[in-house]
Formats: sequence, structure tokens, C-alpha cells
Amino acid sequence: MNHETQQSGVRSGKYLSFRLGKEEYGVEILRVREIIGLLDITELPRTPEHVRGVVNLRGRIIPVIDLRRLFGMAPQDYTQVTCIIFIEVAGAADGERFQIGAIVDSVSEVITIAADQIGAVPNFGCDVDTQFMLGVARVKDHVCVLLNIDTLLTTNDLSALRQAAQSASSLTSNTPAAAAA
Amino acid sequence: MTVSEIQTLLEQSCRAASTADVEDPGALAQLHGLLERMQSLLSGTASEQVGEAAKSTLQLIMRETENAHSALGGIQSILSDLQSDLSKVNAPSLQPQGVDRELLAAWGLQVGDACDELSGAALRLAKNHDDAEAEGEVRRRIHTLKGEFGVLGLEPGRELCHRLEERLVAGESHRFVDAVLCIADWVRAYAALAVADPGATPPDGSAVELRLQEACDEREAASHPPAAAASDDAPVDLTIDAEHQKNLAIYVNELKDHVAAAERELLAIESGGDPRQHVEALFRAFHTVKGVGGFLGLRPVVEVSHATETLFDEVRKGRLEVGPGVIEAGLGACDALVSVLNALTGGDAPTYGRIAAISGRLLDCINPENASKAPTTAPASVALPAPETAPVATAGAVAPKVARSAQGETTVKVATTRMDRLIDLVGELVIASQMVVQDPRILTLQDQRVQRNITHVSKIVRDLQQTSMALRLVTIKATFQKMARVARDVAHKAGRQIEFRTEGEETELDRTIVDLLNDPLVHIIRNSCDHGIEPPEDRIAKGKSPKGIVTLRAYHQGGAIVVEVCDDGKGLDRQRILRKAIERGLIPADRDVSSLTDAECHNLIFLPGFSTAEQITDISGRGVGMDVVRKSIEDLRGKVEIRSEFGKGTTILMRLPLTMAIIDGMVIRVGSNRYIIPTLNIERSYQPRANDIFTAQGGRGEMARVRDALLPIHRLNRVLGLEGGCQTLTEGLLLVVDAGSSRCCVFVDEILGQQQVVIKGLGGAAPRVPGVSGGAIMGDGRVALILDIAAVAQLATDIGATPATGAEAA
Repeated sequence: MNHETQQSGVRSGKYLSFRLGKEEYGVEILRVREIIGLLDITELPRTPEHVRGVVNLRGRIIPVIDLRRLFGMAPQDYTQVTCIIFIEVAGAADGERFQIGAIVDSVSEVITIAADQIGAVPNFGCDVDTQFMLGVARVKDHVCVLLNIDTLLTTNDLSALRQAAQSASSLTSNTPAAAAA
Repeated sequence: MTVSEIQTLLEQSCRAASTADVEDPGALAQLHGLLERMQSLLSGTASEQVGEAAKSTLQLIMRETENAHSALGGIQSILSDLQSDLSKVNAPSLQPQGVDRELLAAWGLQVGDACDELSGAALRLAKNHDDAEAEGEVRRRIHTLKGEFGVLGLEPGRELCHRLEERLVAGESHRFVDAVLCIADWVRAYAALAVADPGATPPDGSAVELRLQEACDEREAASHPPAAAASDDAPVDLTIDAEHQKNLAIYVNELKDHVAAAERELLAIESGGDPRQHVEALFRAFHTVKGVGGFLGLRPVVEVSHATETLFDEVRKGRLEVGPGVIEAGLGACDALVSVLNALTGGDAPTYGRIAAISGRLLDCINPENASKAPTTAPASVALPAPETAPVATAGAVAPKVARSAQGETTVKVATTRMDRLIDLVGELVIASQMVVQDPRILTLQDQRVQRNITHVSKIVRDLQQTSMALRLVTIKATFQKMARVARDVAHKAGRQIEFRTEGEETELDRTIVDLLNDPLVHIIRNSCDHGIEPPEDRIAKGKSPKGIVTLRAYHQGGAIVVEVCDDGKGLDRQRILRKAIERGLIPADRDVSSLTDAECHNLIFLPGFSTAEQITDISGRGVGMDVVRKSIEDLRGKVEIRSEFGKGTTILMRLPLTMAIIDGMVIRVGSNRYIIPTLNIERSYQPRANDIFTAQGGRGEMARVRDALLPIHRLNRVLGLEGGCQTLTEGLLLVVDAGSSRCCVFVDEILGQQQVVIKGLGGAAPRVPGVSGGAIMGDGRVALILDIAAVAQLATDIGATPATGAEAA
């Protein structure tokens, strides 16, 4: 098992794959703590748009982010298969570990990815945030984008910038839907 | 093992027997345990009877009895017979005349085992000199033996054990193995004689004495050379025996407690208390410090406390008057001890020179004619007291570990992390049980039994919550004692005469709060003593007693704790405050100040940069202080108030929550969102009428009239950028809140209720949310955010300053 976590290193091993729209993503299975259907979310006022709020996970309050919004994808109504994946992420200080929930369209499966299946992140140009990506894996007939979970937390500034840009251009389109229909 | 213990046991057994249910093995087992313990303490027919009762209890547990109820009745009657016997016997024999024969017999039975254990431990120690466990056991057993001899009144035994115990210094006990083995044999022989006749002449103890002396000589020879090596300027050597390293914090805290106690006694003597009353306690405190210090191998501590102990022994014996010099020397010793103790936990160690000087000063107090002698001659010679000259207080010579237990409840030390975890779990349990209780399906159940069980569970959970919360509570006593010292020092420096009083020392507060309360209190006490109380001559001129009174008080009030500092000094001068405030630009010079109420004036001293002190002293007056106080108290989710009457005195009042983990909150609704506002912040709430509301700049600035004041209105939905929510002011509610430095109105849709909530963080991964201080899990399992009203008001101001943000424009 590859327990060692390095920011840049992409490791072979087991990944949990999930879908956002037509795209497939993967997170290291070792970091996944729990997968659960949608919970009641309490919104956090004046936070970046992708931060959906906080939930009560068995007595603990845990923040939840919406990956669609984080990646700047069009929001979609939550469905029966919408899930929250609770992932352990590294905090700013050494050794700190936090949990964070990530809302995804649906969870697919656990896949084993070998080192030779993984390629480097292509240069998409300035429109795409590649800091979230560890690499790109070819799995059978499709591609799975491997996520760098630890950067999910440290992106507030960036997404705040994007949010500011969006809200300037389209004031009405980004009204957040009420949490958990 | 006294008669009273038997009596207590008997009482407990009677209670257990009368309430025991024959179906409940747990209760029966408890009864059985009590009976067995009692049997071991008794002898003769009483013992047999109790043994019988214990046996039939056991049969009950095993369900071997045919008629359980009559068996239980039999046990009860045995117990009640015993009780009446005991009360008859008791009356004359309660006076401890001589030795209790029954007790002695019981002791005789087990002392042999104790001796075996002692010898075993001593042999292990002989094999391996570093065996800390064996060493500890030897010392513990010797100490226990000493205590038992004491209780039984076998003076020769107590004496000999005491002599040995005194010499067993940490790390060197292995030298005394022979003496220990010898004493074990001696104790066994003596016990055999004493059981038959308590007054019997003890066997010859000279062999023990001889071994002791040999070992002492050997140790002296071994320890002298290194002691001479240290120079005066070098920091003192604070190496701790490795075996104690892991419990160091516990010992250090314990030592600090004792030093604080000593300091308290010193101050009590200084402020006119009868020295004879306090000197015993003082002596005991230093004696204990010396004991623990020796146990840990901390020579500087031993040295200073020994010198102090010697000094106060002189006082105790009436050979020395307590003058200011003695008190000063004693307080100096306390300071030195504290600095050594701090050094153990990371501070700078004081130098050998300082320790020697302190000890020298102490000893000078005893022999004033020797005072001219260089104080540095003292260190090595008193480093380890020769046992012959060491004053031995039989009352105080109890090992430090048990010294405190005599004062009341016994305590255990538990790691805070473990305790916090327990409290967290209980919090979760409370929420989980609420979720069950409030589940709609449960609520509609008509089953009486289920409802009754649920009520029962909820009650237990509530009790559990209260108990677990109480775990974090400590009395404020220690902090108050520290303040007594602060007041004294400030009074001396500033040339004031001050009587410092404390009330409500036993008030309990959350540990964190007590810790964080220290700094603000120091500020306030300094202010009261330096600025508040006038110099004696001024006071006399005003017709007051030259001695000012500063009172530190703590009490409960409406679910909160109030800590107040009250002085009878000059009070706040309204005119001077206003002048200063204008001078420093804290209020505009052209402002009509006559409209300010006194309370508003007084609050000006909380502004940063405010100080009315005519001259800056090293005590106070730099203009940092009251704003820091306010900030610290607000960080504790408390509130500060000032009450002052010019010429009569000032009271600073701090209202603090009982605990940091729970707040009393008002649950409010805005649109579809629920929030919690700490009740402490809310002054009142009301539904405004149209004529209460005024606007400025075309409605952008809104104000409400609240009694005589005009306060700005912050609409929570706008401040937090929420969708929906009531738009018309007259249809919602205005909460008049105290947002720290100012008051304002917060507009919400409605109040849903008031409840206590357990505060939780939003998870380490959550972004910083302005205006929100945490979250709480509500009865329905959802999270509600707790608002920080001061931050909400600040946020409102910031948004007002930059109205161009997207959400606002929308």
C-alpha cells in the first residue's frame, strides 16, 4: 500500500471513481472515510459559492463543498444518486487531518489503477485549474481524472476570485438554490 | 481502620440490605462486598455473624436460597442487631483510649504479608539499583507502616519507620536495602509482641539503627564531592530523576499549590492575622514542598524550603517574632520556588547565587547577629539536611500525596484530552437522544411504557450531561489567591494601604475560563489599587480610613458567573475622562458631551489608548489595560460593566458564562435559515411600529428608537447575504443587542425559542465565516450557526462601507 502522501507524486493503487456530469474523477480510496446520501445542509453565509455549508455527521459538524461548482461546471439539481463523499484532507499545519464532504453527481466504483495507466496532467491553458489534478488515468475505454484532495481546501482565494468575476458578469444566474430540496 | 469506619460500613450495608432487590445480583454483590469488608475489620461473634450474613448474601446471588425474601430479612436482622450492639459498645469506647484491640488483631494478621512485600521489593532494588518501581514500593510500604503504627499508637514502630523514611531519598534508596530488610524483620517481631500486649517493649532496634547509620555515612561520602562543583552564577541544576519525568507536570502543579498556600498564609499573617494560627499551616506547606522536592531530587527546592521551614519552626516554637523581614524573606522564598518550578516546565532557571542568597536571608532572620556574614556560605551545608537537626512535624510529616486528601474530597488527575473526549461524547449522546425523543414516529406512539422509558432515558442523559459539564469546573480560589499577592505588591510599590478581601472563592467556573481570567483580573486589580485607592494622606483628608478596601468577589447570577472587583477609592471622574477622551481624539472635540450618560462616560475607559493616569508608573497607566480586559472577557463570551460613583469607589463587574462548551442561545429565523444568538448579547426584543423607525439617505440607513436611544438597524438577511426573509421592518422583530463596543438592533423574522446548545466548531476544514462563531446541532439533527453579534455588527459596517459588492447590488 502507498501510505506515503506526496503532493506531486501520483501513485498507483485503488481509487474511488465518481461522476460529475459526463466526466469521471477519482480519489484515493485510503482517504475516503464515508459515502452517504445527501444530508440536510446548513448554508454558511458569505462563503465562496462552492462551499455549500455544513452538515451533522453523527454529532460532528463537517463542511461540505460542491465539486461541480468548484470546477466551475453548471449547477444541477440534486437527485436520488447525488452523494456526499467524506474525505480526509491534510490541514495547513503538519499532521493535521480534517474531514470534508464533497458533493458529487454519483459514485461509480472502486478501480485499481496501475502506474503505467497514469499520465501527467495536460496543459489546458489558463482556463482550467490544474492544481486540483494529480494526473489523468486511462481506465478501459474512458479517462479518469485523479484529484489532488489536499488542494480542495486551499482554493478559497481562487474560487472567490472566480465567483467575483461571475457575479460581476451575471448577477442573477448564480442564485444558490435552497439547500437540500 | 477505626470504629467509625465499621460504623459507616454497617450503615451502608443496612441501607444496601434494605433497598436490595433479590432479583438484582448487582445490588447483592455490592452488599456482599460491604459485608466482607466489615467482617475483616471485626472479630469474635460479630465477625461470625457478619460472615454468616455475607454467606447468605452469596447464596442469594447464586440463587441457592429457596426463600429469597426471608433470607434477605435474616441478613437485615443480623445487621440491625449489630447496629444496636455497636451503638451500645460504642459510647464508651469511642474515645481512643489506648489501642483498639480488634483493630490491632486485624492489623497483626496482615502486617506479616506487608513485611514480605517490603522485603521482596527491597531485594529487587538490591538487584537493580535503577528499579524505580521497586524503590517506589519500598518507600510507599515504609510510609504505610509508619502510618499504621501511628494509628495504632505503637510509638516505637512509628518512630523507627519515620527515621528510615526520612533517609530514603529518590535514587539513593538502594543504599538502604539492608536497613529495610532489617526493619521488616523488626516490624514482624514487634507486631507479634504488640498484638498480645500493645504496651510490650519493642524488640531491640539497634541493628536497624546501625544499618541506617552505615548507609548514611556511605551516602554522605558519595554525594559530597559533586556538590561543591557548581558556581554561583550557573543556573541551578534541575535534573529530575528519570522515573518522575513523566509525572513531572503533576508534581510541579502540586508544588505550586503548596507554594501558593504558603504565600496565602504569609499574607494572612502580614495583614494582621494571628501568627500562631497560620504558622502551622505555613510550616506544613514548606515541609511538604521540601518532601516532594527531595522525592524528585530537586536540590534547590529542598534547600530553599528547608531554610524556610527552619525559619518558621523557630517562629512556631516561639523563639522568633514574625516581623516584616520574616514575611519578606518568606515571600522571597515563595518567588524563588515558583521560578524554579517554572524552570522545570520551560522557564529560565534561577542561579545558584540567587538560591543561596534567598536561603541565606531566611537564615539571617533566625540569627540577626549573623546577618553580616556573607549569605553565600549557606548553600552546600544545608543542601541536604542532616536528619538529626531536621525539625520533624509529626502532624505535617505525611507524604505529599495524601496531604491534601485530609482537607476534603479526594480527587483524581485525568488527562484533559480524555476528559474533553468524554464531554464531547456526552454532548453527542444528548443530541442523539433528543433526536430519538423528538422523532415524529416516537411522538405519535401511544404506548405508555415506551413513553415512560424514554422519559427515564432523557432524565439520565440530562443528569449525565450536567455531571460531565461539572467535570470541567474548578473553583476560582487559586486565581483569587494569586490576586491577593498582586494587590499586596502593587500596594507596596504605589504606597497605598490596602485591605484585600475575597468573597465566593468556592465559586466554580470552567477551567479554561479560570485560566484566561487571570490576566484581565491582574489588570483590574492593579488599576483598583493604583488608580482607585488614594494615597493614605488623601484618604484621611477625605475623611476615609487610610486603609483602602479592595474586594474581589465571585457569585452566580442568572445562569452566569459574576466576578467583580470593588474598591472604595476615588471613583471615576467624569470630567477628567471626558477631557482625556477629547485630548486623545477618542471623541470629537466639538461633541456635546453633556448628553452622555455616566455609564457611557465610564465605558470610554475601555477604548484602546485611554489612560487618565497623570504619570505613567511601572504598574499601570500606559493606556493598555482596560481595552485588553474587555477584549479578553469578550473572548470568553462574557461582558464587562463599570459602576462607579465619584469619590466613593468603583466596581468592575465581569459577567462570564459558566462554561465555554454550552451557551444559552436564542434561536431565531431569517427566511428558511435558523441561527442562534447568545442570550447574553440580547437586551430585549420587540416588534417595531412604524413610528419607531427612522431612515436616512433614502432608506439606506435605518434606525430604531429604543427607549431614549436611537440605534442603527442591521437586517440580518442583508448582512449575511441571505435569500428571502422578512422585508418589512414592522412585520419582523428587532433584537436590541450589545455588540461589544456599541449597541444596535438586529432585524430578524422571528424568535423560535430559547435553548442551551453545545457549541461545536465548524470543522477544521471549514472556511472562515464572518459573523459566525460556531455551530450547534439542533434537536432535529440539523446544524444551526451561532452568530457572533459583535462580528455581525462589524460586518454590517464593512458592507455599508463598500456597498458595491455583487450580492448587495442585487
